[in-house]
Amino acid sequence: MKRLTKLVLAALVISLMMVGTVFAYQQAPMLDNMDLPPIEERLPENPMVLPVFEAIGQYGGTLRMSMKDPFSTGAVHSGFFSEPLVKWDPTGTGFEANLAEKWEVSEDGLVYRFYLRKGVKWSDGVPLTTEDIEFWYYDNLLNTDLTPAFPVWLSSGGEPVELHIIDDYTFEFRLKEPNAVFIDNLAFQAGGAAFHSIMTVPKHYLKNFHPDYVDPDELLAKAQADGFDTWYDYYYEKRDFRINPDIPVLTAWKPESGLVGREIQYWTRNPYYWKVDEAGNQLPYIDRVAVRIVGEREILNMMIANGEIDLDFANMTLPDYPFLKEHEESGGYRVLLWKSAFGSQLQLFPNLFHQDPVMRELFNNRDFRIALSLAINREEINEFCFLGLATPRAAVISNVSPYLRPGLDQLYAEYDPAKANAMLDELGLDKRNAAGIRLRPDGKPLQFVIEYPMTSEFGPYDDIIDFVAGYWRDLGIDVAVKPLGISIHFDRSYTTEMDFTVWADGRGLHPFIQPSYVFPAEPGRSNGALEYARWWNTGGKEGIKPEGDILRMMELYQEFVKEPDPDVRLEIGRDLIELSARTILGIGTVGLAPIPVVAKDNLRNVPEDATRDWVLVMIGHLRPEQYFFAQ
Amino acid sequence: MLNYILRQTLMMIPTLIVISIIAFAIIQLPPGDFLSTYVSQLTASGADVDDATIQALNRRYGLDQPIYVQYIKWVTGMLRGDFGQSFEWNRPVNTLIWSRLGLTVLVSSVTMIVTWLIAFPIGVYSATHQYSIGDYLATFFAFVGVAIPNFMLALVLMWIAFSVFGQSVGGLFSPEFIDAPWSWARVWDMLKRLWIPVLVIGTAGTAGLIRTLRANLLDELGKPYVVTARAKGVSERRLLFKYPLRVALIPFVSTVGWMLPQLISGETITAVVLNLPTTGPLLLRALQSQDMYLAGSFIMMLSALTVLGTLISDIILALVDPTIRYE
Repeated sequence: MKRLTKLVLAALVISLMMVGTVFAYQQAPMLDNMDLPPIEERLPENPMVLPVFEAIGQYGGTLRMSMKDPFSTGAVHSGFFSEPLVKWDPTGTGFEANLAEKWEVSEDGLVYRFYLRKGVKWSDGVPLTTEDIEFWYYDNLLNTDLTPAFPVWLSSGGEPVELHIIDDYTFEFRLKEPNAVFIDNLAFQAGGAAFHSIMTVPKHYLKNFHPDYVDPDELLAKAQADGFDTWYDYYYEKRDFRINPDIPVLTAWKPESGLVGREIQYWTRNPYYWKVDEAGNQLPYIDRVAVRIVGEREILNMMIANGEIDLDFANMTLPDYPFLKEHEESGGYRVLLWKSAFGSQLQLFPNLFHQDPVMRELFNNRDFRIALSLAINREEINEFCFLGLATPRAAVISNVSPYLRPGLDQLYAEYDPAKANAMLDELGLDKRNAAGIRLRPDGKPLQFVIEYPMTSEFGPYDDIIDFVAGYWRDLGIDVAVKPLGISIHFDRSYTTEMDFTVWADGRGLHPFIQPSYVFPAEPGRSNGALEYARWWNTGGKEGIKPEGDILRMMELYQEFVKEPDPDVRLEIGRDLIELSARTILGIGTVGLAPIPVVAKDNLRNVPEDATRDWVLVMIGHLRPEQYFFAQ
Repeated sequence: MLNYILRQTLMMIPTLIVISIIAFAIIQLPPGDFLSTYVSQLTASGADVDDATIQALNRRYGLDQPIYVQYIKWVTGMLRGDFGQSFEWNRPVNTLIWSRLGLTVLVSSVTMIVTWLIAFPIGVYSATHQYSIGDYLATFFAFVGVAIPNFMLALVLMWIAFSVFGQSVGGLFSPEFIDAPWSWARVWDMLKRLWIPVLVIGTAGTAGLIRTLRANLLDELGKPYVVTARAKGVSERRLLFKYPLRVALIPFVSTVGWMLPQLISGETITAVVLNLPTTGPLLLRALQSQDMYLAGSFIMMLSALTVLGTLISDIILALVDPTIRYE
């Protein structure tokens, strides 16, 4: 009898819950007195139900954050305003449905069909349909004034992918050749340009500023009256929701004002947001977000210690960690350590096209590169520069990635100066001058200059380079170091003038989106292999065709993106990563340095353990719309 | 006199033309341009920009045109009051500068007034009471004031404001007042914060002013006309204000015009450290990112103000200093 009662009760509870999720939606109290259609009409037919990380939240509050300057929206805004068709899941490795309720890929991998969530509305109440997709594709992307260079990620076989509209809510992309990272790129938001992506162009609003829809002369006159030279400069401004508060959005919050000339930008909740929690509460929980521009790190630190910041996931690096920990109590916050996806915080690429033939030969010798790598004491760098919290490793992708075969992260990464010295001796560098500097085969002393960019984005570069230079001096090499302004270093990496290119090893989680960290794929970006990258990048028109392992890597990449079978593809990807690690084009130091994240004690649903990365659109996959203040 | 002013005014025109050329050239001097800065910043944050996009942006910003074409476009625009477009902000330069000018002038002029109010009495006191304890104290603090870098003082004061008074730091307003319309509460909120920048920027100026005034005045005080006046029984106070002080002020007057550009850019470093919404940080940023038209227009504006200030100085000098000739 007792069991029966329990059963009945359980059934009752379950059916009640079902009723709850299907029929009764709740909205934030701040919307109660607004002149809005009822919540059921604002939500789509099938709202996206977002599971919470910790608990069902409470409505209300203002979330205070900060940004370095009005141009760091990539770090701060992107995650909050990222609503792609398909989104990264919270682990950052898989995908989940977002604005596309579901999607299908044809067996040959050439047709991607997307089904939009029916009844999703822009923040002004106008429904989202494939008309907006059409407008985005034809009137934005294919308009050469607006988009002079069609995005590479959306090209297939050198041409734009074709768009086919099936009905109001269904459309297809048709590709010329298979592309294994197509969905990845969609989740990554149009190659990183989250602000001008597929889901930020409401046709009903933007057509008023487009010469195909309104009188071009009148449009130009309006543009000029606003101080713009061309209609498209005017259009850029109107399209950019960070600057123009009038444009409707699909995101959880909507900016109340622009950014230019402001010290603080407020975002307010979007009453038409199309996500709910499991209890039927419309998201977001938090009413308002205040983003303050704080240019000076010291001030931001004090504001955090003073409890004036509720969430910071973008501005802190490991050197701030002790200070943040020290003031945890007075500031009323907790410091979380999130993972980064940098295979190496700093790696050095020997220039394979060095203008000095002797150096060129040395740098092209894999054993020489291995010897340089073995001479680096990564434990010491980790202790001194990263509080011992990073991981000594080679410059390869993150251990979390399925593409990394075990052990590769420590390949040539052990500290073995004796072996390094022996290897150099064997390379014919065994003669030394009076000062103990090794002599090159042509009798000149072996020396190089490490030019590196002055940035602290990925770690204390000055200190790391000092250590590396010291280890290499111990090998009997005459090493000088030279810090460069970041843009000067960048310009010089388009030349073959430097001994080394220095940069972090990014894309640790998704190496095959823009694969320039795996093999030379983008001139000036990395790999010290400028001419090979140019060859790849121009499809063989310019640059120099590589041979051997580097050519093999390029071939493997092509096989990888065209392989429809996921299991086969996985193996090809692993082969490629392994070959890249063994070729050791970049000499790694330490990687996977955690990122300190500040969250107010009562700010809940912020994941304790997470990965933050550019490819994941910062915290886009960490569901900021369900953060809430426990009251 | 009128002739003199007219001549000086006309002289401004060729000066400004030369300055415009130099300003434009200086911005082009560092290697690279706005685009390389822009792209390297994007890369630093993890994005990757392909070459096709870079070339497209180059066209859009007109950076593919020869330098002289860019210069002529800028200069002719300026004559119409159009300073061009800021690349980084995608905004007309005018609106950017204007939006920050009000608070900048406010901070600078309050600082200037405070500086004078403090420096003049002290300077006069330490000259007339040379080698007294008061003079030594004033001298000591003046040297300390000159010696402490502004940014350092700013950081220390901020730390005190934060740790002793628990005041929220940075900026000119508390967060809740940043976007609020003007009201007494907002003014009070600003005054509570204004003392830090005023003190920081003021110290160095005050110290310098005290030392200059003291030296100038000491030069005059020993001169025979002072002795004569004193011998004739003129009261000390009247004597001081009527003759030596006026003469001692002439070097000030001749540089008073330089206060004009100071109003706009004098507090750059302090403003950066203190996160003030003034024009200084905007200029610095524009120079760093090689945002050509914004930086160029700024330099142009500062130079124009300097030239104008010099003119004003000349005129005032001509009025107060009878030894100036109009030839």
